Amino acid sequence: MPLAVIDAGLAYQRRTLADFASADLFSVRFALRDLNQADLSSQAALLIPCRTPGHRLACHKELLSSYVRRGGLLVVMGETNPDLFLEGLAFTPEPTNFWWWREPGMELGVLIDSPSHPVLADVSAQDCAWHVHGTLSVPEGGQVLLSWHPAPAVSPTGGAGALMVDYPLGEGRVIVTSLDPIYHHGSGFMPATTRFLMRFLPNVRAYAAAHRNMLTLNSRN
Amino acid sequence: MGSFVFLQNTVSVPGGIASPPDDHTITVIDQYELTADALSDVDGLLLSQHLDEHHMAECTPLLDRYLRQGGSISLNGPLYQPYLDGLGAYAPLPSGRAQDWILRLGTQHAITDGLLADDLTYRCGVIGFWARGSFPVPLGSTVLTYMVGDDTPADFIWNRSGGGSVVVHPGNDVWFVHNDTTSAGRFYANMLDWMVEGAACH
Repeated sequence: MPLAVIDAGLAYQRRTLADFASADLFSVRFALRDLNQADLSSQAALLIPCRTPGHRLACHKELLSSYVRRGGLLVVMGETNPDLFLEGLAFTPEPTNFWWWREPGMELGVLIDSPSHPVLADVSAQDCAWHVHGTLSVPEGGQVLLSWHPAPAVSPTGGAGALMVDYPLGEGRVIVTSLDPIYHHGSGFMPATTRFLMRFLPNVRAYAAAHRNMLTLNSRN
Repeated sequence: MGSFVFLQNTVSVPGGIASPPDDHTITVIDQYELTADALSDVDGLLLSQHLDEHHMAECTPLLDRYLRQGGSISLNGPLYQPYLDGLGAYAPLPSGRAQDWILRLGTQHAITDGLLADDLTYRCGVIGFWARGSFPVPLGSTVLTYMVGDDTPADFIWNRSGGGSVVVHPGNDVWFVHNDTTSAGRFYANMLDWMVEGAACH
């Protein structure tokens, strides 16, 4: 069951989607400019790629909420300002340290809190470690999948918190992360992001299918 | 000094756009509100790597008219689909090795005046922020920088035969480093100055 995608037309998003086309991960693309005309109801999962302008999604807050409440899986990637279009979610930006890895022995401080979560199958902490743009709050009923615990040398501001959360909303779920692999893979920079996507995207597709099957079974009982 | 237009497609306006150097003024327009009227009497149009390429492709005729009237454009980013007539497709350097992204300066030019190639290449010791691939260089262009891996042109000025100039930069927006303490920020400042004073003279 492929993933539907919101298409904001950004070069690095288009390049990433093209690079992963052979993996049969993506189905229909909904143009961001025409999202108000989109019928999302038949889509098991909807992906909002990295750096999709969050202020342009703010007017679609109700559309996206309704989609999830009726059973959809919404997956929101990083640098999208999700607090602008996801009710009950806060984002705390962090000055980005691009150079932590140049210090011998330094770790970014990413922790996998939910290693058994399906979207993190075969994903290592190293696959998630390029840099951090900010942290997320945990909406009611949610669980933290990835978190950040930086050493003072990595984050002088002492930033720490959730990097990826999964929370329920009505019949559906929202997975949101502050990580931005689609931007960096599509820009040809940071190979860790490619490794992350190679595992994460198929996992999301499988998770969406399982969730949709569960809803179908529940509706029959 | 000069007046420019920047198309915004991000939540916030980049610092280098909000506070331009050398007393230039930059009018920020939502990308989807670009019109020909907005480009009348401006010294240049600043196009970021974060634009909706579908919409920019619809603007190709408008951009072409602006250039034929003598306009100047700063074009940034490893585009997936070029939206200026006559510009070929971007290609990353095949090797993908950071060492091949090391830059050297090309022809002496006002835009690279005062720049050290190493300041473009290295940002806190890391290679790759400036450029990782290239566009085909149209005939008559002035090459500003090369990647030493196989001497591939990186930055160049496309002096269009039909009129107008495009400063093509295949990496992160050139205003991205406007506040860096190295000479790298001079590229952006020099470019704006040139778009005001030098572009019409080519």
